[in-house]
Amino acid sequence: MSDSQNESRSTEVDEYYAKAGEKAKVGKKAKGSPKSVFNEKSVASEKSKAGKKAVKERSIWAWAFRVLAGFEVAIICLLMLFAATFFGTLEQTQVGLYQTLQKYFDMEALFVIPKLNGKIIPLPIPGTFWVSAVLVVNMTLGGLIRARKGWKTAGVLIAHFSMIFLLVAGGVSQISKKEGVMHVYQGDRSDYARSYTEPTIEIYPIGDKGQRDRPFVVDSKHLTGLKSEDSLTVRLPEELPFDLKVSGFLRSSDLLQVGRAKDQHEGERVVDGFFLKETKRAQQEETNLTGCYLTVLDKDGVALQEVVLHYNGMLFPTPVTALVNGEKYEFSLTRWIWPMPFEVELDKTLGEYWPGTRDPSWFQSDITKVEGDLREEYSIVMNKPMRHEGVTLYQASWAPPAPGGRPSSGFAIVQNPSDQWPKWSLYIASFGLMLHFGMKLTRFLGSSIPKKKTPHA
Amino acid sequence: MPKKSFNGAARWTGFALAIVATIWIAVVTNRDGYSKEEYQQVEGYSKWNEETVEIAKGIPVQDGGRVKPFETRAQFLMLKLHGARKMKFESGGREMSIGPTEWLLDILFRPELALKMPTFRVDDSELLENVGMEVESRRDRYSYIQLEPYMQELGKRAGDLQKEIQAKMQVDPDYKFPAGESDPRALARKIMEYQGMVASNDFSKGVTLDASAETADGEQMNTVSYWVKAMPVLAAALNQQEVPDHVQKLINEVSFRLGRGEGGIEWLPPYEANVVLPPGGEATIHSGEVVKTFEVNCESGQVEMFEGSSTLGTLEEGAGDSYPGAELVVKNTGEVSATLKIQGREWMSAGNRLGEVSRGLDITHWERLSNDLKTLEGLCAAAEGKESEFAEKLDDWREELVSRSSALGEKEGKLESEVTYYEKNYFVRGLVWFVLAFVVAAVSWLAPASGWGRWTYRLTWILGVLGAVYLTWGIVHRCILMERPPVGNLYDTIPFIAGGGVLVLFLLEAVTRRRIALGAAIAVGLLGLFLARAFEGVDAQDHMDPLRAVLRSNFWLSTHVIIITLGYSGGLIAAAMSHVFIYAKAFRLDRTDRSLSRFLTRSVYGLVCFTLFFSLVGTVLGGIWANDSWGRFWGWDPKENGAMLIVLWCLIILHARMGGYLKEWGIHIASVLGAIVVAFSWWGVNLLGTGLHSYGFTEGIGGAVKMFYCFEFVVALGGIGLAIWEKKSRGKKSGRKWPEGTDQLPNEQKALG
Repeated sequence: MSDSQNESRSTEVDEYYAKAGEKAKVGKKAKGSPKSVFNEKSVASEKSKAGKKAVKERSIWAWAFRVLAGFEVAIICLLMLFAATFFGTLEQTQVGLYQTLQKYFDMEALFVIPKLNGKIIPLPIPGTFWVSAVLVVNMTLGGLIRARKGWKTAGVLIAHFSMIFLLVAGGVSQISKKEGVMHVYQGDRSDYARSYTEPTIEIYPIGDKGQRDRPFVVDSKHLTGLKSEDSLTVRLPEELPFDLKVSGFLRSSDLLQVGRAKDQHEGERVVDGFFLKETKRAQQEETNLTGCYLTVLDKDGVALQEVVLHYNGMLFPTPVTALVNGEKYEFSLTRWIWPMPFEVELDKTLGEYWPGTRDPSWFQSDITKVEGDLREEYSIVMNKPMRHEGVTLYQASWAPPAPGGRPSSGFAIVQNPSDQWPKWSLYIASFGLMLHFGMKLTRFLGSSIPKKKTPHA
Repeated sequence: MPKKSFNGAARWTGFALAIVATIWIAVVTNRDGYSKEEYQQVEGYSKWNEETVEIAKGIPVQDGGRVKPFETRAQFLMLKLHGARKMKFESGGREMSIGPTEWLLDILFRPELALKMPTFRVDDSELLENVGMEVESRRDRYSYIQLEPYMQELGKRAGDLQKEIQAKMQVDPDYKFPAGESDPRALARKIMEYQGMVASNDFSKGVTLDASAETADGEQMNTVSYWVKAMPVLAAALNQQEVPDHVQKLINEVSFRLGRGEGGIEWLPPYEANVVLPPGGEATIHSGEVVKTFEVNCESGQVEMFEGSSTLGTLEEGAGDSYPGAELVVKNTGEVSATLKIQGREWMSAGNRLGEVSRGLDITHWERLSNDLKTLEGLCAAAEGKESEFAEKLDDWREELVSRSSALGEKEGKLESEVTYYEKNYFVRGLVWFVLAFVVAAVSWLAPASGWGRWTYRLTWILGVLGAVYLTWGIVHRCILMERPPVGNLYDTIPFIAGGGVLVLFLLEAVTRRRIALGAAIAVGLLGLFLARAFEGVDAQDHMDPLRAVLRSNFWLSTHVIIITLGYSGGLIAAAMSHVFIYAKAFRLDRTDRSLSRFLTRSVYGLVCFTLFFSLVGTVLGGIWANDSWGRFWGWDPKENGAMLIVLWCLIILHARMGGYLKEWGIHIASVLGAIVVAFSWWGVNLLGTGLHSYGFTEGIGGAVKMFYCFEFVVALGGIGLAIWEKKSRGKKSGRKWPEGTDQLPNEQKALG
């Protein structure tokens, strides 16, 4: 095979892609080309239209469109995502996943400065949520609207669409996903899921006979970002004769009695002989024991009573009782609970370990979904969850029975409107990429196979 | 400099580098068993006959959750303790080299010799110096006898350290013992494991009675098996009267002898219990320390199963089911007697089996245990006599275990197949073929256009294909043995990624026939198999052990895992081709072959597309799997992030190329940096020790991974330097006409990325 033959055959393929790059710049200068990957409308080459186009492109909207649809924005977004993912991966080994997610990937994170081994990395990165949002806009404008439409670009258009769909799914999930866990012992029934990490304060009015009435709940979103030096006043409905002030909120703490832990008391606020001692925040957020001081205020804001609340990690934390206007109320700091649209009865749960090891070989839970009078049986196995009414139950854990006890199952429960969107996105992306790269491969092979079957020296 | 001299220098440098690399790989691969020049003395050692070793290899034992050949058990234990698959020492002035099976046979049947063997590899001599031992070098191998005087102190230090760590964790739950600091716990654990194994057959020493004491039926009363058999009768008699001191002493001795071997080899299969329950009667099935699963079949009558207060279901006549539980209770709820067959799945050491039998589910188990112990006592006695008799008895024991194993549902022929797998040593043989192919390829680079060059090219193909055949054959054989797709753990990824890379590059070579892809394929195969061997040695784990519950999905293993590993493969071979580009540029090879740069750039571009496709699809598939097993599509887990980094890197390369920001040099430098991204995703995140992909965690390879990052970074920097130099030198020549006979650079090269 001669070199020239090889070169001439390969030119067509390379030219297409090389020119695509060139055209990006040409497009920017509004000098059209018939082979541009951009929509010909935006890079029209006809001289008769040049005047109009020039006027149009001078407008701020055209400029914004061009910038947002450009390769530059795409590349910068991808680089930012790369940096955030890289530093987020490393940082989570030092502060845990929960804090990393809040720092890098939360909606509220506008800018992030990575910190590794206690040292600040002087590289401000925009928050991933917003970078992804810009990328969606960029792909929509540049990868769908502005991109040249034709057989050669069909695969790329489809792939861009699938990625937009995937990122939107991620956004929807971030905004509206609810997740928690439900632990049920064999033979028991449950109708709620408990958040792994998000705190809440429950207020139970106590009836005449000492029974708990329907609780009032302080939404976890008010407590999530609270710091120890902050205070939060919670206005309660008129049904309750008081409001609340939350202060000294600690994500990770111990509840200590002054009498028994004098040596540990370093001036912390003491209420009823107890104080909250801040402890090192564990990487696994679910293991951190939250604590706060709660001041009961009358409706005019006058302090009536102060109590200390502490989440002790138990399913039902011990409540603190307070008397307001002669009425009894219980307060507890616990994990946020959300009710399920149905009840789950655990009929049977089985699990096995590989012989002679502590490695699980499989788990299974046979449950009955109870919705009023309607009872339906399901089997939940690892990798095969139950999906119903937008709620999905996964076999997350299994606890073997202790001697004389009962086995139990832990179900991860998720309510996510975009639950199945990634699957559809994958099908679309696979098709698009296969189409695009398939065409390119065909061209590459066509141009690469030498006529003379001799090895190249 | 004239182009010919550049060309010659390039070829000779390439040849020299290839030869050096090959020699290094050959030396490192064969380093097994070499500790120092002067071997340790094991006086009185005689090697086992080949026949004995062959018999022993196929004896079924249970370990890591599955029944496997003795050979496999021995191999990974030896790797763990000794750090190699061969052991060398001196005996009677002769150099001895023994394999894993011989070594384990010695531990079980000639422990007095085994204790003198240099079993323990200690990489950190400071551990031993701290307990007062004199050492010669930082890394060495020691016998049990050498370490014995210091073991108590070592154990104490390990215990103290553990307490210290626990105290620190009370204050900081995320405290981790700093890597690289002297840690006696690992060595203490290894010593304990070895002690358990050495004491496996300790019971064969018998009890302290008069050796001539013999019963009327000819049984020796000084054997443990005799007293185990007599235990039910003895226990019944003892219930009636006070225990005389000498009897109590005897019982204690039996239990002590067997108890010592609790951590020994697990080769006593489970006994089936036959239980008859009268109406209203019940029996308790104890699991012991770890929850176990029992198969319960009701042959007649009707029973109800309980776990504590919770009912697990009813079994009617002819029905059977499996039940996991710490303490299962079977209750006859029928009106007639119920007959049950209860079968566990745990193979045990003699010591642990005694504990299980003593929990009293079936009284006949005493006799069965006694029979097994008697066989082993016979084996131990034979080991001291003629080896042919020992081999005969060992073969009987093997046959019995194989037959009992088949009765328990183990597939016939699987053990033999696994022994064959290790005998065939596919990956090492593949490595040898790749080494040869690499040497021939290196020779062919010296004069590629000559007749010699054409012959060596063909020979490289043949040798390379042989290497690939062994590699593929090994992967397929593993799949058959594991009954799952080829990739299920970190080790599995290595041969698969190497195989994928070799195949893709072979195809590229078949299409282009430029020798470059062939050379890269051989290098990828060679490095992949070398890495597989090295990692197996460091990790010292049997990677054919069964997978955890979450991974047991052949659908996801054959889609997500395969696809994502092909993505890794693509990224690495793209980087390999970019290395060739940088090398070619460094030696100006492209000036004698004008199409070379273009070919390499197009190949790398195609391979980046390949990487993107497989990484993207594999990552999203992984998310869908995670959504089905953990309840979320994306959790920012390090392994997930690693996969996404590859996708993002490929997208950056492709978009920057499309945007005109990366051209020829830029693409190659980015592709080399892509190798770092792939290595981070493949290995780096597993070293972080956090996330849900805990089955992929590993340690002990951090240094090697960092070296790889540095190497690739240096190559990329070299590429950047060359690109700048080329740009400058072209700037100087611009406006000048190229001298006649000098090739002009292709258009694409004129603009630097």
